[in-house]
Amino acid sequence: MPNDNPHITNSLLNSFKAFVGSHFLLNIINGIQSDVILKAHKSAFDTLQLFNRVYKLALKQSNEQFTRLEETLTFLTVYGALEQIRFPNRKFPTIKIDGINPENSIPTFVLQPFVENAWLLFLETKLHSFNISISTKDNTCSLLIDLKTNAQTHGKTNAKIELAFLRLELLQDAGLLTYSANWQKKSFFSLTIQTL
Amino acid sequence: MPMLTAIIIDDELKSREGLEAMLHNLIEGVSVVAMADSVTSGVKAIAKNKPDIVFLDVEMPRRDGFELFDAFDKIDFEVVFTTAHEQYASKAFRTTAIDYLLKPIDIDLLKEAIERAREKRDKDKVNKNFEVFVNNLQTNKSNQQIAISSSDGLLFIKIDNIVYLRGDGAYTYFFLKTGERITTSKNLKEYEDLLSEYDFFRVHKSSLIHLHEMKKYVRGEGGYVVMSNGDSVDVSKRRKENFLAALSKL
Repeated sequence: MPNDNPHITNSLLNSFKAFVGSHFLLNIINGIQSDVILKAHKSAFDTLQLFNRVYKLALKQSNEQFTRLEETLTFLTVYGALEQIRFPNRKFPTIKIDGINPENSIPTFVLQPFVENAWLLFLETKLHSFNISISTKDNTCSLLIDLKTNAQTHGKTNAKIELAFLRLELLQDAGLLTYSANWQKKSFFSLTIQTL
Repeated sequence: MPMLTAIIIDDELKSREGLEAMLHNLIEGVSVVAMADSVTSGVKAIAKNKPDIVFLDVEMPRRDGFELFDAFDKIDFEVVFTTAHEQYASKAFRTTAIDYLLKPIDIDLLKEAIERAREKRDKDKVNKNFEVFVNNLQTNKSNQQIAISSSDGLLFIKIDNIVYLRGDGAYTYFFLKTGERITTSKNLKEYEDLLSEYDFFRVHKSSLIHLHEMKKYVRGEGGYVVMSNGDSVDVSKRRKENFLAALSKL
């Protein structure tokens, strides 16, 4: 999709920067360092493999305002696998997929911040469930995060989510998509994006 | 080198184990006595082990690292924040933290943080020793035994055993009946304030004598006194009058 809007370009670069400089990736490198000093070679190798994949995907996507949904799912899956290594006692959910058209595309770096935010909130609790589902129909993509948690954490946000919303706003203003987002009472969060 | 005891508080197991291994294998003089995965369990570990240093992760489930400070009336351990969030660093410095380490932890920066913690710990110990000294004087006069901090640690000496003190800038030398000379890093004025009620008198800007340990006063412009150990101590002209008045009250 064409894009010559400098604000949109900046928003993409800022989202990329937020991801590669995130506490998530720095903690992953810290974990690899721990594996090395603890001589946990297999764990270090496995983590490096996943880190390699997620980093290259992020690097590739940093050039694309929109990413094929299939690639975005791979990105989220690898992200989840890395988080699972960091916190082996909590189960990162398998992403449920419904009616995916591999050719569907969605804005780059938009879904992961919401998934990460929900995961962090899930880590703070012990008894709550966490599910992620993504469905598509025609040119519409819906993300539903079903996180049974307490009311105090509804709507809790962070800088990466702010950047994701900024990107969605800019892309909507440019006439490239429409979107709606809701912090749900029962199912935490939903995001629907319709590309135009 | 005295061993420092440390506690690691981090919600990530691998991070705790990695830092423990770095401290154990790559740093001298630090012993990890406990590890905790949350602020709540960290507070218990600190209360139980009373460590010298606490390595504290910032972002943890339920309660972030900064909330640890709420659990203590007095922070008598050094804190080194460990975080992957650079934005927390400035907040860390605004609290009682002495240092922070960004993850992944750089071994050279870890060594530097340990050294800074050790230096601060030593300085605090000197201050604490002096507090003991003051407290001892103020609350236990009948005992007349004082504690002073020296390069070797705390020394307990009887006030009656002090012949005189000589000041030299920021240092004070204690001359004892036993012939020993003890050096402390407090100036003479502080000891003058503390010992004046025990018949010590400042005869010169650099000398505080125990009046009961004086053998002879030799008159002169200011004159000088000969102490029980044979040392001579000058009396300044300016202080002579008050000195003689003090002698008359003995």
